[in-house]
Amino acid sequence: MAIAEDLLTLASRLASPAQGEPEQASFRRSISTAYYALFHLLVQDAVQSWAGSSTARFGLERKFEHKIMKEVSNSILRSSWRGWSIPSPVVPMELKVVARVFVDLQEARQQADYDNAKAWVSIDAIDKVADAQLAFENWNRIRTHPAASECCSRS
Amino acid sequence: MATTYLSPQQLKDFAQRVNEVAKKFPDEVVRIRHSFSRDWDGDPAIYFRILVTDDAEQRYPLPELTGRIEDGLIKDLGLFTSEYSVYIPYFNYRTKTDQDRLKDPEWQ
Repeated sequence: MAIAEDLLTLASRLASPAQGEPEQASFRRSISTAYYALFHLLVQDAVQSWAGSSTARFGLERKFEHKIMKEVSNSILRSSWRGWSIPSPVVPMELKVVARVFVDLQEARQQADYDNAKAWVSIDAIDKVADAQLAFENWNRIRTHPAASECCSRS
Repeated sequence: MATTYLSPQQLKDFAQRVNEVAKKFPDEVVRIRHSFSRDWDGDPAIYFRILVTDDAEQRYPLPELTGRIEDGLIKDLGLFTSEYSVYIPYFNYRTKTDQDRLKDPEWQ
């Protein structure tokens, strides 16, 4: 999980830029990086269980789509998600936290990367990084849970 | 393009309930503004703009503060379980000092 955790560390650093560093650019990169930290955490875990070569796994990682991952997350939040096993696994609260943060961070990332009219403040970046950290903690608790495995395989 | 499927009365009720949630956090929340719109890929969305007191921002760990407010909004408004669940909720925060400096009309 090195890249995901490294990205989270970087996002945290960017959320509190040193004096003289460009604040707006730092906050934007912090939020965007926090999203990608969580994205890569989920994608890497999803492909870990896939029995292919490392080259094939890297190829598989590139197939994950942001929009579909958002749709799966939203269905988890609205209790409409169904896994592929019967009966469908119960969704743990930790997975709902991860889903909620994923959806929120994806929207924030879009704004941070593309909405140049928006002015960001320190609390924006610190809040989103804290959310990403919360999602990491929750994911680490349930990463082997059947619901976690199945929702990743649907993305 | 319509930004909401809700009737004027539903919108009024929704706004009132948002204010009621804000009142549950008198020491932490200055006010909560919201708007219905579309998110980055066109899904219906509610954007909450939550202005927190400087004191609360300093007194509480940020995840605890924002978590309590978001849980209050999600639970009291039924954001994932009611007719509002068609909208994806997004939460943004600012301190009063930030807003006094930026004077952003959407947050007034």
